[in-house]
Amino acid sequence: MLRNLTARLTAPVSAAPLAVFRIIFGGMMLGSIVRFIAKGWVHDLYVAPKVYFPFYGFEWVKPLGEAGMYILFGLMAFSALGIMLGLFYRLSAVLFFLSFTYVELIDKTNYLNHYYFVSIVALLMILVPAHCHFSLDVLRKPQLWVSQVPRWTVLIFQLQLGLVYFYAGVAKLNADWLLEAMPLRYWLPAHTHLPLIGPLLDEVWVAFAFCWFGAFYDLTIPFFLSWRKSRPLAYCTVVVFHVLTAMLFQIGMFPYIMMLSTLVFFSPGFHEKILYTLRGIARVKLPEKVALAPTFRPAQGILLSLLALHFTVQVLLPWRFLLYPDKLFWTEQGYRFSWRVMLMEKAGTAFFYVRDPRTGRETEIHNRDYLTVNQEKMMATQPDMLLQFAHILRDDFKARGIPNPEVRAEAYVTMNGRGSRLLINPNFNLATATDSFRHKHWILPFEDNALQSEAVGQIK
Amino acid sequence: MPWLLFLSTPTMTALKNYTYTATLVCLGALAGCGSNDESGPASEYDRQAMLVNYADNLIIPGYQNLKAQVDEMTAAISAFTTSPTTATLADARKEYQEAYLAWQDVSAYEFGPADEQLLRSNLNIYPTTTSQVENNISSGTYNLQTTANMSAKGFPAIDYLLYGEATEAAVVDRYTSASNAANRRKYLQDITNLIKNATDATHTGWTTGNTTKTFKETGGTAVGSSIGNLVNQFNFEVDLTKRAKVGIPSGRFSADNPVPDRVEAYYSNTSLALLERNLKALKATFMGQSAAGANGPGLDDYLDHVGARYADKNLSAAIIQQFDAALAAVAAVPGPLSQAVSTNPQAVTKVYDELQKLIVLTKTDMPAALGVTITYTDNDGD
Repeated sequence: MLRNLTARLTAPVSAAPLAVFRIIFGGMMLGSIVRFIAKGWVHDLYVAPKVYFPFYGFEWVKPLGEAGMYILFGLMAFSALGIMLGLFYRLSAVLFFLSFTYVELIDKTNYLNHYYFVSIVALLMILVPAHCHFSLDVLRKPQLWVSQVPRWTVLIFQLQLGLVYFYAGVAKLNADWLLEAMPLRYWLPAHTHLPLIGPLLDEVWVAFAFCWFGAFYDLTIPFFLSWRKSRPLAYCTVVVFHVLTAMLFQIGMFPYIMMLSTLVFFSPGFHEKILYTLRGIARVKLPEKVALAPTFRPAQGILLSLLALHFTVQVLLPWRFLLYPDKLFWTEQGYRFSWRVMLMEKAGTAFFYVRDPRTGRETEIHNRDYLTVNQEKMMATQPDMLLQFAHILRDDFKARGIPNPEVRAEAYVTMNGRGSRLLINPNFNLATATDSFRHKHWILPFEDNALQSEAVGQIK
Repeated sequence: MPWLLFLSTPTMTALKNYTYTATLVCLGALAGCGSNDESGPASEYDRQAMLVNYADNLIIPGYQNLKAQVDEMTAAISAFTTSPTTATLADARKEYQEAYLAWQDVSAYEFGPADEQLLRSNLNIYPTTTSQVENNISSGTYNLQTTANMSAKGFPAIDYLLYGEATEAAVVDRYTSASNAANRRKYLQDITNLIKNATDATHTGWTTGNTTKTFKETGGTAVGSSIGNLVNQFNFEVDLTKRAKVGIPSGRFSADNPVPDRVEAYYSNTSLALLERNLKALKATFMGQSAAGANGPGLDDYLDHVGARYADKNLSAAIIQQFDAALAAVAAVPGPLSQAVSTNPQAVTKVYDELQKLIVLTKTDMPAALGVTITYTDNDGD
């Protein structure tokens, strides 16, 4: 059976979908990077902050200074261009993956699911011969040209996209989303000034309709896109869905990336037509022969095993939250890297206190002395970031001559319309706690009807 | 619903499976939520009426009053610098206090014209750096817009210049017989004129051109929207009140060691009056209440409209209650604040704690319920 599966995965298919996907992906990335630089975000997010929140295990990833960051983004832009044009493709794909992922690892404040998606797709791009069709590499080395590629090289992108949607849908199957229409019930009325649909957004039933449709859409769209007969309408739905989200939410490039990426589900004929048009513009001719990408059987076997491993991880990772106690949205243990997109309204205010154990005196911290507005906002609701900031404070006060400073935090968090309450134990000394993948016992349990505790202010 | 429009596009019959299901799910969603209506937004809420109320009944009258008070202060200080006597000094002091109080009414509106005029920087950076003030006076040449002079101007510097000596006679002496008396008179006049110019320009900004119209018409709650600006600056102000007016002087940020000279209006000992006025103004802003006491549509009504709850009551009621608790705590502090931070720390701590509870509600619960983005940069989310 395995042999049968391998045969099906390696069966030759048209190289056009892969080539078009390469052009789209490279082009979208190039556009995103230019937009990112033009908005001044390289400086705002990677030069201006005084401290950063690296991911657990990636504390060695540091920003490279102003010149370094711009060089890195320049490198990223050029490698995206290389991907788009299919020029020095493998090198470009490797450089793009490394530079993009490095930047994302610098500060989890800026974590976005679609950045994670880009990193994964970039990694997959390294593995496929996307440059062997309609590329400058073919122009440089005509012997690279193929008309057919193994089926898996297209399938992996469809599968990855399908997983993103499907898990985004699974994540929506929770009581807040389905039974309370939260957080859309809070988010939609903020857009009542929009023409045409604006007045509707004030209605609760509209929030419910959006929630239920959103869940249904996410869960089913990969299948409707895969099925030839439903594909055209499914794609119309993709466009409407993402245009709506682009209008309603501040989610940058994500809707456009999804709208264009999902074209990979379309038939070879569709992509060949696109390339035919592009060839017309570029005035190049398609060689009239059939050539299959050369395969090196052992290498392909290893590749397929690695991909099997990758997708196994992808399927399992979103479920890791089950290993932790209490409500996922509250603790956020196992929340990231799971396609939980636009899923909850969570906001917080965190007060930090540093105590000198020798004198017993406590100093409140003005968070903005250390953090950017965005860092403070993200930190206040996420326990692992609260801990990181506590350690930043500990180290700063140590450097200022207090040998064993104690750091505690009162973090008040509101989630999906429930009144703000303490997220973590306000008396726990975070300075001595270490981060790990284990459950953070100092996170207070989430209780649906808990009142605000009385811990406001300094505890004497 | 726009996506249903696509049902009419000519498609293959097999597509009907999908469209039927999608339609059914939509209809099911609509049918299933009928029972939830009473807990949701209470019918229509006219957001534009709220913005009109803020502009016409709070912001513009607030700047009108500030302008009038500053004009009177400028005239009184002019009279004092022309002829420094204890009588003209008393009048200058009185008008200065009234203008400073009027500023507390509008300090939360630091967006649009006030932001362009750097109104807060020109009017109220404290504590004032007396050495910088004295350097400027003795040198006689200064540029009040430099960073170094940020804390050498505005009401805090006037506070020092009008109250910096133990007796009124001693103050008058510094403007008559002391060395640099002429320079001192000029400096006082210059920083007063700067307050007047910045205030006038802000008032003009709101009363001419398109600012008010744009404010009333910029809907939504995204970054740069009127409600977004209002809520963000409101919270900036609540935070500043908590931290600068109370927290820093009481030693919260310095290991419990009080720093009395960091109170607002240290020399005139009017900190508590300013704090009270500021909190009342913030409460009025929250409620959309004009100076005359007319309670128009405000953030509180908007919160009720979206059905925001806190514990067992409306979030709006919880916030108003918390404002009252903070005001009661302020009233219980024996003045002046600069002494109370050392002699009566419990009373000051009580004020601080009430403000801390207030900011949790206004900065966490309120923006979340209104969908207001708490960030000043236009970054992506997902």
